[in-house]
Amino acid sequence: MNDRHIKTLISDYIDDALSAGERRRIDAHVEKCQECREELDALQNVSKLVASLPSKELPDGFMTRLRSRRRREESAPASPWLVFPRKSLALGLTGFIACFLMFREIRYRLAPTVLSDANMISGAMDRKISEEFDYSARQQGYDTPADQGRWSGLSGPQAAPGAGGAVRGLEEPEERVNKKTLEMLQAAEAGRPVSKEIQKDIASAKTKASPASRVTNERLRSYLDAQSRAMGIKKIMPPSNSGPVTVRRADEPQEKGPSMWDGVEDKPMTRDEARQAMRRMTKNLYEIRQQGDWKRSPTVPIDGRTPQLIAKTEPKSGAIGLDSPPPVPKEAVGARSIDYAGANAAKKLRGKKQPDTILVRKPSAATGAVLAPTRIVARNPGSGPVVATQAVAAAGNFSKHASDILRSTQSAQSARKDVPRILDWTREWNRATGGMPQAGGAVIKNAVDWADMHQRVPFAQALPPLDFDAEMAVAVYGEPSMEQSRRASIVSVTEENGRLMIRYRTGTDTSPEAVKPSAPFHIVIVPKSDLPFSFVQVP
Amino acid sequence: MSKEPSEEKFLEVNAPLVYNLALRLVGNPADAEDLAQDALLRALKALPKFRGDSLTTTWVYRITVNTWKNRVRSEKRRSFWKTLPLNLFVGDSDEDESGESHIADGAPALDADMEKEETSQAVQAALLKLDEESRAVIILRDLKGMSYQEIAETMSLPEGTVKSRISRARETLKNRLKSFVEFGKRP
Repeated sequence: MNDRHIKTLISDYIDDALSAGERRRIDAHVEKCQECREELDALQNVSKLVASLPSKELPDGFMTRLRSRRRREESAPASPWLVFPRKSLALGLTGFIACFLMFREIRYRLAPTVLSDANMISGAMDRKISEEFDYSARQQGYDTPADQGRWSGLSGPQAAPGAGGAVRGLEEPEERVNKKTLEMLQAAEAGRPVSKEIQKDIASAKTKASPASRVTNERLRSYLDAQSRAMGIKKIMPPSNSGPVTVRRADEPQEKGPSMWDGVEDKPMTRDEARQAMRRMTKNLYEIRQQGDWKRSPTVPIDGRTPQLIAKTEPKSGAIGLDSPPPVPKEAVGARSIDYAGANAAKKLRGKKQPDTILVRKPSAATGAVLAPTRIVARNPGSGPVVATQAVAAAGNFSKHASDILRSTQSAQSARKDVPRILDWTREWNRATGGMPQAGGAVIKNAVDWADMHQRVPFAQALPPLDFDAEMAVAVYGEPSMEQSRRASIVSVTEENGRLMIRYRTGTDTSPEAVKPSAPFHIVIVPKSDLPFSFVQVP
Repeated sequence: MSKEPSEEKFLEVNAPLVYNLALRLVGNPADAEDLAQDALLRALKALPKFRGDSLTTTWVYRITVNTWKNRVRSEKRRSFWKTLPLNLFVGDSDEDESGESHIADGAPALDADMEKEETSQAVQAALLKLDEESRAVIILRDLKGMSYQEIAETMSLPEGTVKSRISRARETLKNRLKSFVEFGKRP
């Protein structure tokens, strides 16, 4: 009998599920074989460990709750599906048909020819489709932005006023098309007019695009908005010289990269042209999103303005950001270095649980844009509100975007594993009653769970909306008590050494007006973190 | 156990059994209570159809396990949120296979009761890391002392599958609970 065979039988041996002969053979083997003996001992111990799990008493009120639930279920009317199967079926069918018709109508109104194309593009778009788009886009023939006013929502990044151009009709060979396109682009860059041949093509293309068949800007924008929402993008901003800047780090050289508008002209279009343009833009959006290309992504998280990420390294000339960070004074070693807008954001978000010391930089009166270092210290180290009045006064344009900047700054900091990243909460619900029947904690990262928790613990009248792309909820429930007024509170939520640490505190309120019985809970909304989490009780 | 107990008596007798099984299956009291109540009410509804082919406990356990399996299925579909016991380091834990469970800070287990509690928590945490079927079979076998045949009946699995699941589950638990399993010593 070899070891392998013995090992497969050890579990049965422990459960006394072997014949007498097999048992004898195993007994004889383990007497001689040290390894199998150890295996047998270990598995027997495992079995004993599981068997030693203590039997728990029913929780207080279990039977009462069970009986009341039973009464509730018995008194609830039977499902209409069972009582009136025909009516239910008819109702269901009517609903289905109504939904179908409504969908068709909405689909038609939003983008008559475009949405079906979007369905083709799901998540990853393979190279073949991409090439097909490129080719068909060339086949359609675009002209350049001669009429920006008529399509203000979509301005091509390569658009240059005064430049014009067109590509050919369907019968032209591809080399010629490429040549014309190249010439058109060169002309656009140089700001000079294009050749007569191309101008003729432009005129021809404009004639083809009859007003009756044009897709309106509103429809295109509706479509883009829908696409963007589906991808979690809140708003799309047109790139232009006067508008918001592209998101990029301060230390990153300015460069042109793929954008949603690549290959899309700014002009009135026929439906076919619009379809091609939408395909192109959808493809660009998906690609940008897939690449996680935050530097060039045309997204605006808040207030219609692109957030400016502030890096700690020295920015290059012309970049947005701060001057090089000030040297950290000796007494501030270990403190968090943060930009002044971050400090402002911290104050705006919540006064408590800020680091003891925050280094801020505020604008110098002389230069405006150049920021000078200022150090502010918390009034009550560890728990008190930050003295951030100077930062508030200096906040200026950043105030609107403070929370995002803080988040970005913290993201940069979290790259350094030794520096804990404090996740400040933006909203909270802390009550002594209405919590769960048992102590526990939860981290909620999606809308379904959020709604489910709201149903179990109705902490607010209506379900508070959460942006689960950027936020998550952390909850702690204290042990409920009939006699005492218990309290539970989250002390801090931090990212430390690759782990999300949720520190909480529980206690009892002994004041005469304290609520009894109690079932405490504390729910906070913090920036999203994908790290594995731990709940740690602190004194 | 009588085959036709009164409904109230049935609940009183079976509630602790069902609750304890549920507690070990789901790992936290809040969900265990929810599951146990669900299973008991289902059992109560099905009681008139119970023919007494098996022990009442086996039958009730089967209903509990089936209720739990249905929940797990729907939870997987909905990515159901979980309430975790605060003193257990479970959930998204990326704990390695070394058997070292993370225990909350500042909780040295020096006296025997605390040590026992610590061991129970580690065993429960290791059980929760098993796949659902393995967790159920090992709990039914080692904690509830059911035979292979009864487990097969409860879980609607062939007896051979039950055997292999138990064997595999013990092997996994052995690796995860290394620090609690003393090698080379006869228990």
